[in-house]
Amino acid sequence: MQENDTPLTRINPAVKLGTLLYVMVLLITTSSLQVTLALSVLAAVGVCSSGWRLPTLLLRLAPYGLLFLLTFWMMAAFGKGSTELWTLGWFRITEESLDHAWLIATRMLAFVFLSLTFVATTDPTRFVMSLIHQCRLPVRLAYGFLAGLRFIPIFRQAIRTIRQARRVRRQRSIWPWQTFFDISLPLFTTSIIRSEQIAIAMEARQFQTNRTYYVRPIVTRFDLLFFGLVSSIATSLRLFA
Amino acid sequence: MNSWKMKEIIVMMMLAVACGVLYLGWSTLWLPISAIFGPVGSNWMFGIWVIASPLVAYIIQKPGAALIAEVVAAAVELFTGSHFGLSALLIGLAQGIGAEVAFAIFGYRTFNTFTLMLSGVFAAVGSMVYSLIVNGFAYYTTTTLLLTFSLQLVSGALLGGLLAKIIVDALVKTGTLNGYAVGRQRKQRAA
Repeated sequence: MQENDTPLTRINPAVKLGTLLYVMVLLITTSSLQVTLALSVLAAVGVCSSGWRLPTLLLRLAPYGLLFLLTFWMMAAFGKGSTELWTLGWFRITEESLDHAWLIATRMLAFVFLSLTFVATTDPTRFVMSLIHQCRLPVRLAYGFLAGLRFIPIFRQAIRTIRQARRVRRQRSIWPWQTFFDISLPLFTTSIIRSEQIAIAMEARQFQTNRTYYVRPIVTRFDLLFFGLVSSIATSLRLFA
Repeated sequence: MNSWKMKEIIVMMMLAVACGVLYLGWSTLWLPISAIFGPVGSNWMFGIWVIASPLVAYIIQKPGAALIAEVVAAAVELFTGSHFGLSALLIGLAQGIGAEVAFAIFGYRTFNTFTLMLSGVFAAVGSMVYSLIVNGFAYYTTTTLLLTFSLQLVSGALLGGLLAKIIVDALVKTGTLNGYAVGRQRKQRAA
């Protein structure tokens, strides 16, 4: 949830999301590895221009290398195919499954690039404001969501505390859903109490749907240019690569 | 949306965000398991990822709650930079629509163990449709695919629907939910 200052940051968040989703749809609807590779290069260009310096970028991307391997492995070892290359236990790699593994893993990687591009260059508050003005998101929902976003770090800390408290008391369960129950119950209880307080505070301060805005995001010519450029490049890659 | 009280909106958002944070931890748990045991051996864990819908819908009992909750929980994954990112948002949408259908069938009147488990099952169906199209599940061997799918259905019903029911009933006992539909329902039954 960080924001780098690049030309991409200045693009209207709703327009940016729409553009990236369009590229994702193009990726979903193709089963050619060549097209997928071409589109993922486009997505990689996005990530590279999202304002991270190279070492930071590589560090951020490292875990996704693992995800790539995992997706590749799942499809290769459990996919269908007839020309067997290698088997061991329940793993069975065939020529066809290898091809599909390349396709799906590359697609996943392109999705990761697109997501990172969006997250790196988008401030959540501006994004939600843009959803209100460009996508007619109901105001009460939007502000509720913003209030919720503030609590992500608080909830993460709360989970850590609960887990440590459990460890101190040697409460362990071999069943993961038992653990889930034990952690989520106190988490939900506090979040319900907190949310009641927030709602009361908002109403006490006359929060209402008819409101004025300090900043009102608009769609500029630059935004339209971005959408036109990226979508036409992506479409032509999809058609001709 | 106008019939919603402010506190209902906020509680939905907060619980959905809390679910999203829990999903993150669950994802970290899932990755190594899925690498070793593959789609069949890891998909019993699926149900937790759809718990936001039955949980919030059971508390609020209004149209739209199931869908919005799941999408918001998925948005948390996007903004914290999870392994799944924008695709999490799309799959959340698919799961949310599935879960919403289960409650819509009963006209948003019945919220019991059955409908909650059904919403978990339908969320699994939504998720499967998405995975078939996007994640290349169609390329899995037929046995793998069928086993994965049936596991997701069962997991969606148990870890999604049933666990949500158990958690909310435990929350009702604490008294924090007295001001919401599920708490009022309990009071009426007691009276």
